[in-house]
Amino acid sequence: MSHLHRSDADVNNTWYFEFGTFTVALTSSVDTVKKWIPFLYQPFRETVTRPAFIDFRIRVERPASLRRWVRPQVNFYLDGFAPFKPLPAQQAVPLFEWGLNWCIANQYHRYLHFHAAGVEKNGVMVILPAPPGSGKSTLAAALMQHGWRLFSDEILMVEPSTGLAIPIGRPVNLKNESIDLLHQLFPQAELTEKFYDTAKGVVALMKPTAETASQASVGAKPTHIITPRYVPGSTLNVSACRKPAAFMELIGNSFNYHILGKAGFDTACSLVDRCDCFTLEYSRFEEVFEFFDGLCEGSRGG
Amino acid sequence: MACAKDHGVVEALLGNPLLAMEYSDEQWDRTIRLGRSANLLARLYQLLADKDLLKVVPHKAYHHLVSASLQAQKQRSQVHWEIKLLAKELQSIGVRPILLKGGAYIYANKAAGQGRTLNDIDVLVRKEELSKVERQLKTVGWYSDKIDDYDQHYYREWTHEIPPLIHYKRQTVLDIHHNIFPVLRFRIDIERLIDQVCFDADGVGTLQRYDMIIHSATHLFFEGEFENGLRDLSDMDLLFRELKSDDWLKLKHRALELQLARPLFYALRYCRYCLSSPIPDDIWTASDAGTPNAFQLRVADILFTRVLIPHHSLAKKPGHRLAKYLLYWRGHLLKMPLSVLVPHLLRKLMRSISVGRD
Repeated sequence: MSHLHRSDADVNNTWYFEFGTFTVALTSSVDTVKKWIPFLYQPFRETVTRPAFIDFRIRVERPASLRRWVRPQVNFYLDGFAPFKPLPAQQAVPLFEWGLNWCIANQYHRYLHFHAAGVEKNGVMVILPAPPGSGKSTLAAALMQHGWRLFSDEILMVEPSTGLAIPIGRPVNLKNESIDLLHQLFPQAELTEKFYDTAKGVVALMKPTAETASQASVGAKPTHIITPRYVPGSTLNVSACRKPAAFMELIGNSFNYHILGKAGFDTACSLVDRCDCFTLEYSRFEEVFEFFDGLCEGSRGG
Repeated sequence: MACAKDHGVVEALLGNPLLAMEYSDEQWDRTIRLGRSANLLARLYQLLADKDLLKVVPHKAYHHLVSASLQAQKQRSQVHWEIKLLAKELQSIGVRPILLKGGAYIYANKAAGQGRTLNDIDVLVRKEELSKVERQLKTVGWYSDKIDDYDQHYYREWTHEIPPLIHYKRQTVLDIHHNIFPVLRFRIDIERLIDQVCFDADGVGTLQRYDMIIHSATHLFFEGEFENGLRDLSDMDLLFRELKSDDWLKLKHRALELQLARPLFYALRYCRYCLSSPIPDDIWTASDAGTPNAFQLRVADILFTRVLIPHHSLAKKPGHRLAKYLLYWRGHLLKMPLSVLVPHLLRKLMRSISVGRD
């Protein structure tokens, strides 16, 4: 049985992060985690000493079995419980990131969660809902490097009582070609090494900008819902999306709409009512930036 | 028995929700961790809400309680829906299902159904109805999963239920029983229970309230697994708290009549010990049937107090693993004579080795 608990004694291998409304403790003695997690979470890290209440206590460790040496694996434990099968050891860092997303999506229903990215600048807050592979993480990472504040590249949270989007501001999960692409376009962007052969292909994580991290507890009212689609070679094409379609798209991409019940329905309705809804086909970031910056100016003028 | 000061934060709060006012942030941190591992967060939410105490819970802890409660609420409405559908399907073959455990507490709107979550819906039907029930359900989308011939044989021959049925679309799991305990060792006269079942207008039955408690006690103290032991104990605590003063002796007499006094004895003892259930002192005397002798009681205390806990590293006492192991064996021995048990376990062992190899 590899689901053993261990004591909380590993002081040197434990990091405490506070981002948005979450407090997370991560314990790991895996080398890549020790190398990259302090790097990725450096903008958040110093805010916390040992907190009294921890939302998620996570451990990423090699199982205590033969697999320690033979084709090593890592396990993800949420407070002693292993919700996933182990992964190859070199995927420890992405495993932590995915696992933490799972914790939030599965166990925390204070907010309505959407499988969506979110960015904000000057009070313009854009939700980017889209299925995996549509380029939303890439787009969110590019917009962040372009000076927008990242709310999340994966789980966008909206508070039912206020209608505010609540940031998580965690590292961005980049996949395959988008890693080199972003690296070329934004030499200042700070990325981890590449992690190969994951379920999503090659993965690298991008450190959040200082702007994103420093305002990780400041919510914003969503103003736009824009469903992006990367179409190679295309010129930018924006078309208005009918509200009922935007609504269905949004709830179809929610992790906990069914759990929140009526509060979830009401929140999604008022969100769609309030926001301008578009679909966006793109291939070149310059055009996207121009469009997004235009949204900002439009809002300042109006 | 050890004194009450060893009590964990979850047990203490279940016994007396007013303690919420005194808990520190660290205690809340422990409460959420332990409560989650014992599947009791939604119940804690409900008990605190009933006493209007949610406002004293620190923000961070509060949101974990709410999250668990929302999930339980969602499941609650699913359970109602599933039971409605089930009753309709069975009505067409003239069978009225009787709900057991979590599903029954929720359906009958018992306090024990508040914040209760479940993995499957347990249903009791008469043994002679079993095969037509199974056939009917299989025509409307239920199937049994990954069960080989040996498992089928084991369930049908030696247990009191058929292999779990899963709905292909909704993934709900249904456990259909024809008795409340494996049939081999004791013959529990199930007709005496069924006689007293009350059915509602939809044709759904629940055990009468004493039988509900006795069944829950039998299930907990005669089975060998305690993953949800504390949760089950809390169910009984809430069922006990609904009794009036003249109910206690009737409850005891019913258990004696069904020859299930021993599990009731344990339920009363450990509910009072772990959860401070308000149980009168004088309902059980040492001479009553079902009372263990001093040695048995000593052993039972050592074992049960080690497993009726949240199964979390914060709560485990020395000897936890051994206690779990011994009770697992006891559970099996209660269910099956050795001549059946030994071949069964050998077979399980062989299979776990060959599965482990893949």
